[in-house]
Amino acid sequence: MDESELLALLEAHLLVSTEPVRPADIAKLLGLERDLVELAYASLSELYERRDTSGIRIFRLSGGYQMATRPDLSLEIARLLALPKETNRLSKPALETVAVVAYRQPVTTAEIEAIRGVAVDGVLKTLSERRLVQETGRKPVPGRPILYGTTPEFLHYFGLNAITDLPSLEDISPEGDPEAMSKALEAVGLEE
Amino acid sequence: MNLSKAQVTNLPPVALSAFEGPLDLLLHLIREHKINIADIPIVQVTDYYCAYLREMESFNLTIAGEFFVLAATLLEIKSRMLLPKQAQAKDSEEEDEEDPRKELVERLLEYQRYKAFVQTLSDWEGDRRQLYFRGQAEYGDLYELPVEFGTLSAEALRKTLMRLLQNSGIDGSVEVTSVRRQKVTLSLAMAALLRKVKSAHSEGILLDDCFTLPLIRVEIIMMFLALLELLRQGKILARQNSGLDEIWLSDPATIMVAEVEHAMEVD
Repeated sequence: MDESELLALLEAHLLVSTEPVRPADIAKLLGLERDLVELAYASLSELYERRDTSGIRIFRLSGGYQMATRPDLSLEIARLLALPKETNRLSKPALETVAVVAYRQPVTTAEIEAIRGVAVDGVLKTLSERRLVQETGRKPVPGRPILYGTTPEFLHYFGLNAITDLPSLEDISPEGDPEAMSKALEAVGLEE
Repeated sequence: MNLSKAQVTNLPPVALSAFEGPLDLLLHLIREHKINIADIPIVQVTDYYCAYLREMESFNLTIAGEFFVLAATLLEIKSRMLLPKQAQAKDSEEEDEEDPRKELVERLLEYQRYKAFVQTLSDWEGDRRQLYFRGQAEYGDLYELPVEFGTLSAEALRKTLMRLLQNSGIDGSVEVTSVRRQKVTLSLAMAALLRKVKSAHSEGILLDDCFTLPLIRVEIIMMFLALLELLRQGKILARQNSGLDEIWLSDPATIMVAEVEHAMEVD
C-alpha cells in the first residue's frame, strides 16, 4: 500500500467512525509501523486544514483522531440539524468538582469535599452518569472509600487529547482581585 | 446574633444561587469588604452568615450545616489568636507555632485556583461544542450511561417523557389509556414456542423469528429458558450449520424424512 492509498483508507475509515480512532490500533490491524500510521494521520489532518472548501476538520481527541465539522460552521450546522442551542452544559458545581477530580485523581469523596467545602455526592453521581468520572478503585484506608478518576469521555468532552494537556495547577493564578489575595498571603505567611 | 430588619437590608446583596459554598461566600466577603484576613471581623462575618442561613433555612439543611462548619472554623481561629502567645524566646519553637489562619488561607488559595480553572474548563467545553461529530445528531452530547434497572428517578422519567413528546410534536394534551400488564411464565413461554415450532414448515423456524416485537427483557429470558427446557425434553430440535450461523428450530415429528434417511445412511 503506497502513501496515497493509506491516506485514502484512513480518511474513509474516519468518515464512518463515531469515536476517536487510535493510530496504534489501526497500525496493529493493518500490520503497519505505528509511526508510519501516526504520520499518515498527521498529514491527513494537515491536508484538511489547508482545504478552504472543506467544512471538515480532523481533530486529536481523547488519544485518537476524529472527523468533525469546522468550528466556525457550528451555528449553521446546529440549525440544519435542528439541534437546541445550549443544552446540558455542566453546572458550576459540576465543573468545580470535575476539576478537582482531574487534578487530584484518584481521589475520594471526602477529599473533594475538603477542597470544595460542600457535599459532592449528588454532583459526583451526575458526573458519573455523564461518564465524565468513574470509580477507579478503593482507597486502602478504613472504610475503603471509593476512588474517582476522569474518563476518556472527559477528555473528549473538553476537547483534550490526554490528561497531561491540563495546565499544572501551580501555574493557574487564583481568580479574583490579586491585590486582596496577596495582602491576605502577606498577613498570614510572611508578615510579623 | 440577631440583626434588625434595617441592618439586614443594608447588607450587600447576596444572591443565594451565586455561591457554591461557604468558601465561596467567604471569598466574596473578603473581596467585597476588602477584609484583611489577618484581622477578620468575626462578629460581622458571623452576622452575614446568620442572615444568609436564615434565607437558606427553608431550603436545604445540609448546606446550612456546611456554613456552620466554616463559621466554627473562623471562631476557632479567632479564639486561638486571642490566646496569650507563649514565650517566643527560642527560635526553634517559632516554626512550630504557625499562624492559626495559615491553613484556612491555604485552603482558600487552592480553592481559588480550582475556581479560576473552572472558567478555563467552561471555555473548553464551549469550544468543543462548536464541533459536531458523526452520530451526534442522534445521540446528542449526553455521554450518559444506560440506566440501571431500579435507579431511574421519577423526575428523570418525566423529563424524558416530556422530551420525547416534544420531539414528536405532541403538545401537553396526551391521550391516556391503560396498559394491561402481561403475564410471562415459563410454561406459557414453552407453550408459545412449541406452538410456533409446530406451525412452522418442515425445515423449521429461525430462532430469531420466535421472538415477538417489541423485545422485552423478561420475555427474552423466558423464551431462552423455554427453549432449553423443550430441548431437554426432546420436544424440539435445534440445528446450526456452522458456528455463529443462524439457529433453526424444528419439530422432531415433522422433520423431513429425507434428512432422517440421510442421517441413517451416514451411520
